[in-house]
Amino acid sequence: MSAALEATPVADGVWTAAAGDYCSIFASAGEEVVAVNGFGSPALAGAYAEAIRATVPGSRIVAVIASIDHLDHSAQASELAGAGELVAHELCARVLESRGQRPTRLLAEDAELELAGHRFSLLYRGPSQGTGNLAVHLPEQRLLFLLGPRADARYGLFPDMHFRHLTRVWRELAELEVDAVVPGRGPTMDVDGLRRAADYVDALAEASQRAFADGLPIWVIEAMAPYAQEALQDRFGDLDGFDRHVGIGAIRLVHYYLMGGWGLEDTARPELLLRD
Amino acid sequence: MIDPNSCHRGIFSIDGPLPGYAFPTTVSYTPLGERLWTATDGIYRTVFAEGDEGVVAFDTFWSPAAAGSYRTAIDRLLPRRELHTVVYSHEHLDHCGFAEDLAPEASTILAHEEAAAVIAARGSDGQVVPTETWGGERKGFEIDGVAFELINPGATHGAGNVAAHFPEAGVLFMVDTVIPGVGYTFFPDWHLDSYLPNMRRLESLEWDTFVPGHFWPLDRQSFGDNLAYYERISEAASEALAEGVDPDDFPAIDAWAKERLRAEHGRLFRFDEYIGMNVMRYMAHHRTGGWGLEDAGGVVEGSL
Repeated sequence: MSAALEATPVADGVWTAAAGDYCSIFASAGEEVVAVNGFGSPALAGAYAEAIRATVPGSRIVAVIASIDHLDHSAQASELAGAGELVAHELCARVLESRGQRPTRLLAEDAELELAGHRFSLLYRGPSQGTGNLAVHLPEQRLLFLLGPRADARYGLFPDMHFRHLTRVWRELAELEVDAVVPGRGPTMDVDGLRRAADYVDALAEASQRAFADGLPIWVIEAMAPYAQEALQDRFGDLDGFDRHVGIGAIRLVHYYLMGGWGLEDTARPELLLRD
Repeated sequence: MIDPNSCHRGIFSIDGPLPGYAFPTTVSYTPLGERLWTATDGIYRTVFAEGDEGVVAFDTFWSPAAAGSYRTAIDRLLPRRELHTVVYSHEHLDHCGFAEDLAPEASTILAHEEAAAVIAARGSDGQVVPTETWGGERKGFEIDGVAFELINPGATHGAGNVAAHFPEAGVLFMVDTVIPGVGYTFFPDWHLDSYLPNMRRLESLEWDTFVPGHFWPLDRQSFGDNLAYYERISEAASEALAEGVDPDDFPAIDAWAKERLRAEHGRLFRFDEYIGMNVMRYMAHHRTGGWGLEDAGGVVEGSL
């Protein structure tokens, strides 16, 4: 059975590719294509390649940017890249290599790359979600692709998000001159949407701390969900998925404060991760 | 009494008082051996040992007030003894965040170097940076006549999380790994790729009693049963994904998990509170492939 995947133009020479809630982008000039990630299964990766070929007939993938290490986005990045380049942040590459993938160009800091006739600015502003998560900026198309933020509240467990730096990273990226922010999951937004995503997480962080200060049993969903709903309803109750997700999100966040964060990513010195 | 306005605040960033950190708990203690004790407030648990001259305490409890209660318990049992050494089991604040409240006079704060790196970079209010670190997998210590071995079996939970082995008492102490009942909430900072194989390495050691960081001590059978539970929840999470349960939708996962797993595990301590969160975390793990570098090749091969 073939997986369904939809390609939609989002800027000059750039398309989004969406499979359900998951999203990526690819860019083309002539027959050369640069794709981001590669989705999580061989079937979806195949559908992604097919969608690229259908959109850009006779195309050849010259590079894949693995923007994150998570399997549901980049499990097939190496296969999709084929003989082309596989670009990743050095930290992301460590995880990819542990799974048998073969990144060919490693970045340790922000980089400007000319690929397939397009200028890509690959930005790493610190830990946000996953390991070595790169923001993919196409300045000429005024477009940003970023995994982590959402236009809705459907964050679930905030998987592998690093709260020490998360919203700072998002707010810094919201200062870029872009018209569209394509998140790795959910609907496309603009920079105001990205700022609102940061506002939501910050508000949830404050509410979860207040819950602890107020003596709630912070490990109990029946206590945390109504508390967080009441605290955030007025500002964020319109976000899709708010009611079903805010409680588990509050439990996740309060444990960040209770435990002190998870690993070096959640400290003031995440650059120590780059040490051998 | 600790003032909730001026107490150490860990990494809490909100303004105003933190009564949750100032609420004094009641810490009780029970002997584990000739000079080894376990202390608990009913939820958190740790161990401390009587030295020839002073006291060696493991961890600090979860808040400034709880650290004070821990100290009160030690002083009641071993009055007028210097608490000269604090050993950190790992780096999380809810177990090791308040040495400034437990023992401001302690001259030695001991931790594994992986934990110490996080503590130093974190800069949490009330957490003391270790004065002495060690690396590798195993190291024996004798401090003030208290003999123990610290063991880092590999990535399990947190950073530099080590077990403390007291061979004479037949005790193994390790925090936030095996805990009675189902797993805690969403397995926060558990490294699920390597957790089981690395924890099972500890079964090769000689011990009769496992003292966890929460609730009550366990025997070897219960330790093994607890690890088997993780295997089952990992499988259940795969089943939930295969059946199309939305891995981000907690209410849906919780309902699925309670319906599917109650007959098998419904009698476990805190089943209703956490079974949904346990399954949700494993679903996220399977979907994303693990969280961070700890989950990338963290399994340690070979025996201890």
